[in-house]
Amino acid sequence: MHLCVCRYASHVSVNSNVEQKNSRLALKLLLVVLGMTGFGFALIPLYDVLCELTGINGKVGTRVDSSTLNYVVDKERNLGLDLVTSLGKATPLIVETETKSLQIHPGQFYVVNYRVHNQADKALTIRAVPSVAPGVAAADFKIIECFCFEPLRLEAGEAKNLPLRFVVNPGIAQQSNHLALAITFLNTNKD
Amino acid sequence: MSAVVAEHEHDHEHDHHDHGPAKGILRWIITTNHKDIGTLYLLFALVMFFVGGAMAMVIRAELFEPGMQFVEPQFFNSMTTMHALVMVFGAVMPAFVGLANWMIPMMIGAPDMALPRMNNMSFWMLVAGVLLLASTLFMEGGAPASGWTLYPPLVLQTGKALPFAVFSVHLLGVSSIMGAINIIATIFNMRAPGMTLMKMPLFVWTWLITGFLLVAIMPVFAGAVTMLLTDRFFDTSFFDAAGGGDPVLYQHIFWFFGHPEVYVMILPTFGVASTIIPVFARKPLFGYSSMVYATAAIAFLSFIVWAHHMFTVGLPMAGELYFMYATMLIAIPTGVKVFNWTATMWKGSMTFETPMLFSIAFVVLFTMGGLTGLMMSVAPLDFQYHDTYFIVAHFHYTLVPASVFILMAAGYYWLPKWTGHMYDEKIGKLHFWLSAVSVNILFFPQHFLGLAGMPRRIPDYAVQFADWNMISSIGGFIFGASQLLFLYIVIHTIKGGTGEKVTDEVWEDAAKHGLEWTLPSPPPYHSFTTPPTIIPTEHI
Repeated sequence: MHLCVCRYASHVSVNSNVEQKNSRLALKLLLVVLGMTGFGFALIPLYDVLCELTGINGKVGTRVDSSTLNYVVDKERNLGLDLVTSLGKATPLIVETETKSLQIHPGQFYVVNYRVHNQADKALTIRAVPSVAPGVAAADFKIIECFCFEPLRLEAGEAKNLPLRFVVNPGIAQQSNHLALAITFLNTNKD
Repeated sequence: MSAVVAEHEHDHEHDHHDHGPAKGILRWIITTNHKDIGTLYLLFALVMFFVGGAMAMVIRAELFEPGMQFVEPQFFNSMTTMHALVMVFGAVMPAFVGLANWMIPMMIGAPDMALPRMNNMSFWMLVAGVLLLASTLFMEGGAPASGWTLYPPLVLQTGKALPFAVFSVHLLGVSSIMGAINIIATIFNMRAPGMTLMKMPLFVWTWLITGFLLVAIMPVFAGAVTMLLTDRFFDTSFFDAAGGGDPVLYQHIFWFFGHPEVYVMILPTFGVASTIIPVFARKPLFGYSSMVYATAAIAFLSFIVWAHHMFTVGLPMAGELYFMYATMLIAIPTGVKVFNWTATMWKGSMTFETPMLFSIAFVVLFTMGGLTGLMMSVAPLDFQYHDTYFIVAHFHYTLVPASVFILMAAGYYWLPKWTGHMYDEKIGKLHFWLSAVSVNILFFPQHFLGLAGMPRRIPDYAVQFADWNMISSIGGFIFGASQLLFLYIVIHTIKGGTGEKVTDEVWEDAAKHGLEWTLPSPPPYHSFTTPPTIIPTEHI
């Protein structure tokens, strides 16, 4: 069979020196391909590292140690804050906040309580994902204590009061005078 | 192009390798000849151009009037997704790989591609990949309908088709990578003595750079779709917020691939334009070395601008600014190119054969597409343009009257060389004028629709958009029908064309511009079994 293919093989012979160079170069390029495959997966941690190094991360939801914050309360400024909650696909919960919106001063620590009630007849593992709008204000919204840092387990029918403690950086831009904190509750059970 | 051939030994010894192709259908299946594989790629791309085009006709028919007419919304979205995937991975990219296969060995004085067996394999993998992709149309839940970007979480709602689409992307990626490795190896190792890098025709240069882009980005895309697959079937959470992942991360990874990918389709376009325009302007290409450096600069910039596709996802301000300025930078090397083409034509003895007509239309219309790109690079303005028909108009201007027109130009320019027959110039010109007018009727109104707020990827729209959509659809139908002329010309020319015997040069003094015109028309099965001698000449 091999002979047969050779008979019809229509490429011309180039000198073996060039053939060797070709295979060597092909091999090197293959290594680049493998390297780039690895790089594609490495991008996942790399993005986080890069954002942390440059401090341009717009995400909220990482724990902030309150002892590192040295804020002075700005009683002059009043910011509006809306509390929004939503549920992911197939997430049988009832979520309520004690208030839908509140007025806050930058630099002042606040606690708001979320009441979460599992409607299912089995235990659920829930992940709460926070997001702050407008995006430019996200970096100034410091979450000190939250149920969104770790997965949250709720027994069948269980209801829980969950506190969220936060502070807004007094350095927040002047035009950011109304914020929204949206928390999405996602069911991690994939069935 | 700056090299001419001093002599070409025709009477070289016939050794046992130097024979014609195998007979019958087997010739095409087992061939390792660069011309045969080039032909396969080009014909396959032509077929896919009509398949993808038929999908576009479905889209334009549905959008002819507001309201639902012909297809279900789900199928409509499958059409927009499949149209894009087929045109990108089935038509434009393979067409340029086909041109590379045919022309690069002839342009650099090589007997064949460097890795002929891999060449055969990469073509048949492409066919397998595209067939697999097409098969998803008939699966439960329909073909992918998430747009060609395959964003999660939407794409994870695809029915049975998801793993097949992902595997198809793997195959297409492996095929592209093998094609790219082959082209790079050919260009580095197979050049005739005296064909230094800075004497290579620009088509060869642009493909060398494109080859490196492909090697760098296709593995990243393959990785991204693999993550989609494991998120769906193996309980990973790369892009699933419930498991601690982030759907925006997919967009970052995708566009790290996706932005260079759009240059994979435009850089060889630049190369062909730089090849054709000097011939019909009867002048050397203006600014050869600046063309090479501009191409390299565009390729480099393509890696550091990806998030301009994501201005509205909530990037931090510093990110918006960086990606805005970096994107604007691309206008500089691109402008160098446009001015060089214009300067090449300046005071040239121009004639307007069909390939030149398509090339001039390319320069004008690509510039328009580039200009809207510059508009969108302005981050605050992009909030209005994002995901509207303005974007659709922009990238179709850079792909249809740019890449596709240049592929047409390349077809007209080299068909006489490939076949030894002349195409029918009258029908060629008719094809050009119909295409050039209708492509603007098709895409120009989409700018207005986008600015007025019509979102992309929707089967139905508010009545305020009705008029321009109807005009756009009419343009689309004329454009689609005109392409049948091209199909006719290709078949007609292969079968003998006008009957006129073409010379080796085909075009007046073409041999001054490229080695391929020193070979007979059609060229022998093996081009340069003895390397030609390159005489150095001045660039300008």
